[in-house]
Amino acid sequence: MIKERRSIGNKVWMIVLQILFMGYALSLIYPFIWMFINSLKSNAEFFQDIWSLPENWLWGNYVEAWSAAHIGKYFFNSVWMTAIGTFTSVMFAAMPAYVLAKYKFKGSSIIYGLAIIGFLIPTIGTFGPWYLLMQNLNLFNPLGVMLGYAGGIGFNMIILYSFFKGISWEYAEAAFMDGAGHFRVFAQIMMPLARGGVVAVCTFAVIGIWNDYFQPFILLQNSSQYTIAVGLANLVEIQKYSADYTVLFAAMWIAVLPVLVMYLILQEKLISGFTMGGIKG
Amino acid sequence: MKFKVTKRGLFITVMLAWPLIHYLVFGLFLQIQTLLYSFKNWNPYTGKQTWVGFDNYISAFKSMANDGVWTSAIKNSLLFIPINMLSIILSLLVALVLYRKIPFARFYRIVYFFPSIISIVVVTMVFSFALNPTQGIVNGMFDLLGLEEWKRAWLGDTQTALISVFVFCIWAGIGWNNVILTGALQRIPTDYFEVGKLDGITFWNEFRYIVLPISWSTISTLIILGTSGAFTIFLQPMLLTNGGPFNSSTTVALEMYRLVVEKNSYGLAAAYGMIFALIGFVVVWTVKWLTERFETVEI
Repeated sequence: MIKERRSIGNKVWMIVLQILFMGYALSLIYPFIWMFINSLKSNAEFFQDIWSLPENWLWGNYVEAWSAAHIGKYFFNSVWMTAIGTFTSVMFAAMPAYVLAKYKFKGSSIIYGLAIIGFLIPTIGTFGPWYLLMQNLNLFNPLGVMLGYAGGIGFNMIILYSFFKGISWEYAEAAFMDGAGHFRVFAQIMMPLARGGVVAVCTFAVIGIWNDYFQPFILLQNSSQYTIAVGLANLVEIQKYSADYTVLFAAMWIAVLPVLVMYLILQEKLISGFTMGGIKG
Repeated sequence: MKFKVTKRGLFITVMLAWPLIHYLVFGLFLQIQTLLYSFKNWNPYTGKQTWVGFDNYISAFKSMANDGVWTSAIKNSLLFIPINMLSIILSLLVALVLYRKIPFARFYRIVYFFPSIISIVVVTMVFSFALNPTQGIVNGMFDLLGLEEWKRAWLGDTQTALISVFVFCIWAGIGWNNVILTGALQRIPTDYFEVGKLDGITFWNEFRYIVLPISWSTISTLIILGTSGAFTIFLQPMLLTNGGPFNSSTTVALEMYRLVVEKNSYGLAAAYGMIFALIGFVVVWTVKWLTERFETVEI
């Protein structure tokens, strides 16, 4: 009797949970679907009724977004900046991480401490000096954006550090016996052994750089250099005045689609990349 | 003292050279510059710099006390601390429920993480379109439900703009925290739960005696990041409301950004930067100290 009541309680509880969880999921998905439906309408039709299905499916909106709004060009810019930025940011994080984890020398703990301190002081005041520095160095261009990604001492370093720590030094000793140098051991033995961490950090980097808005927004002055995030934000500003919303929705979908497809194919790996990294204080 | 160049030393130097130079320039040098800038003034027409002593700090403190823009910015930034904590609590609840593999758990995890992998530009755009006064989903739903009096210009109304920004941050942010916390939960050995189940442990006790102590290091890291994040947040309000209307949804970091980009007041911005870095430092370390009071278990 008691057991039965308890299982009914559990069932009600489960239904309530499902409604809450499904409601939240729909609130995330539905606006995108809504935008897709409306991206196929004419602007006049959109203003008449925001809920109806399009009378004629205007795929021309997508052509207009791609060519007139230059989304294609921005897409290409984002691809190469993400590729180079990911490579440099992960390499420059792996190098100090490896040395700090595997070599003992004076000052190594200080360098590790620098990375931790970075998290604990909220730095906002440096924006002004950074702005002037970049101006004086003539770095209001893609090179300046790349330079921002090529840091090293920070979050990625800490994650890779813990991965290198966990790898036995015996592999390296065996390689040294065979006459391999320090660089070779790092590049050909230790990096592949830290694969799990490298993949996780690359995932952070790809997503972070692809979506990065602020630095490219400040540093890229010429619209031919815009990344997709900057280009889209710019398009939002333009469309506010011309109120050509349906083309804007189409542009947004072009920007989201590749990431969405990549995400749906790789979601298992992506999410586990985040969970395995393991943030610890 | 004599230095001997060894292959080992050379290797360490080469590996550390670039990251250290980058850190010295973009970390240390800019920090020192900020301190120096805070005692300088820029002539807005000639760009000439002059030393002005504590003038910037005095005018910063004056406007922090009287200027409605800054009082609003400070209040809003501080409110982001409890909002970020709420987001962490909700994410933890979501992670705990999804960990029990309820139906559709995988679907939920994938969908909730979605805002984290697309650009903030897109997510804010989708959100502000949903809240659009005339063409948006939210007001449209109120129309359909016959609740016309509930309709509002959500992001353009001083009463709802800030709340809308808060809702956005939670709505879009749960997935990220959820995934980090799920990772922490997955590292708890399953026998702990099984032993608990055999003893007929309740949900609360399981949470209190197993989940919380073991994953506390992850939770406390999120708490610390959420606290320091409150002092640096500005993109969300910038893209959603641009701090408006009437500065009702602005933040400290957004106002500092404006001082630099719109007014070229590098000195004043740096003075604010120093003040808030100091306040933030004290708050963050206090929170860090508090989280360390809590008993943890290493596994």
